[in-house]
Amino acid sequence: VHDRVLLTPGSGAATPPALFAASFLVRPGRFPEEIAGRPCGGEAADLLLPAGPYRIEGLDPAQLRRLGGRFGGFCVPVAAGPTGPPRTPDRPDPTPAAASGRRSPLLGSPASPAAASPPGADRPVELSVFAAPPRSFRRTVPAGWRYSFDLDPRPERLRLAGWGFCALLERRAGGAWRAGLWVTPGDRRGFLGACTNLLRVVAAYRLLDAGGALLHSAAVAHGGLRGGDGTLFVGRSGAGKSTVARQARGLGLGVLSDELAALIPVPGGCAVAALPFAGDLEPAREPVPPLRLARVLLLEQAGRDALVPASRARAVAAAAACAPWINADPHRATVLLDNLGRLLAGVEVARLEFTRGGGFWPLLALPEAA
Amino acid sequence: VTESAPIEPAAAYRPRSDVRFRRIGEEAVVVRQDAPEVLVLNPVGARVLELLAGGEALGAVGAALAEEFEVAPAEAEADARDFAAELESAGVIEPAPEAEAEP
Repeated sequence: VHDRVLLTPGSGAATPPALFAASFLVRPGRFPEEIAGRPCGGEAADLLLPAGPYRIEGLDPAQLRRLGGRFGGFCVPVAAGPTGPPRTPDRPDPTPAAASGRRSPLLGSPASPAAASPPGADRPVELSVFAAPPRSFRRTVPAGWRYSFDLDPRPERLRLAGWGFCALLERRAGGAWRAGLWVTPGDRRGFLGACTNLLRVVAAYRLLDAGGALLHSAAVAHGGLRGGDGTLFVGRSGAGKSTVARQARGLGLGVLSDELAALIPVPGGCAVAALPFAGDLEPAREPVPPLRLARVLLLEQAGRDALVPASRARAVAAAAACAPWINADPHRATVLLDNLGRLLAGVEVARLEFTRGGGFWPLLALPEAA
Repeated sequence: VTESAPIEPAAAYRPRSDVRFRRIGEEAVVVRQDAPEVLVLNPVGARVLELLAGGEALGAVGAALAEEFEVAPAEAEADARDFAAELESAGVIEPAPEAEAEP
């Protein structure tokens, strides 16, 4: 009757409410109820991620420099806005693209399916950074702890807590997402880790609203990073994504991702876009236009190299298993399945049985990069 | 040949609370969030789950399978029971409260 695909383990799972934040906050019961507080500073930046942009406000100068250093060309400083009370739904949002003088090449066009997404999906995400007293966070590392964070998904909000931070993501009137991140201002390194983790989660939810999905996957371009077609290698941690990406780079092929890639709906199909979150390889430093997704390969290490036909359901299952956070969210997992069913409808799918030696590449008939 | 137990036509099942599923083509993709795992159901399994989730009792599921897959009613009923048992064993469905009240 059935075939099993294991979900990606680790930080994807929702935390039981009774345990939420207990490992990270001194007083979990005092988790912020609303997105408000004292900003760390008056700096702001837009992050040009897929289905973005994402405006980050309330940064101090050191935090802004850290973000710029980490995200390169994805991060565009914008004129500092007024600090003080956070915006409310009755105070219209500025348009980040207009404020920054740049428009994200990754924003959906008005004709794209994303434009027909839930209300608010076409509005920027606002992320405010607030200062929290150092005594808010636990300092001791729990025994046996591996880097992860707690997640508490609700229908209209999402709570996160991790090492040195807590965050609240909520859907405002009108449907747009807004996030608050509380960190200790002097904790520079901790800030970057907290911000990066929050951005991964926010991107996953934002992409879902836009009809897309965030997937653990390696994305390779054939025909060039600009104007070529994308092949997505889907697999859990340890499936061989980084190996495939490294070999692709060695063959002169463009690599969009070796860890996380964004699938977004475009007229007539699906596109794959790079995110500045990498696994073993250096993350992307500059945004590039999304590539048309031509093929999805389900990674399966084996003693031979072979392409085996796979059904669309099998591909959707494998992709769902590799969609962090959303696949564990009881309020949104069916939306994820719906999105994946549509995104992969016109895409060739197959199971790639492969040996780590790279003997499978001729099977893929990828032309050499220009 | 395995002898089948008598079917309980009024038996009803429902997806477990941690289960989310969608039909994809003729198959179904099932997310079991507590496990955690994802299952792919074949067309018959997908249809059985769909009918059970829609509130149909096992007898009605067998009747629907007989009509839709053009098999003998007795064979369809046995399939419905076997598939339901396998889905229950896989943690996808559980007896609905009404079924639990059955003697």
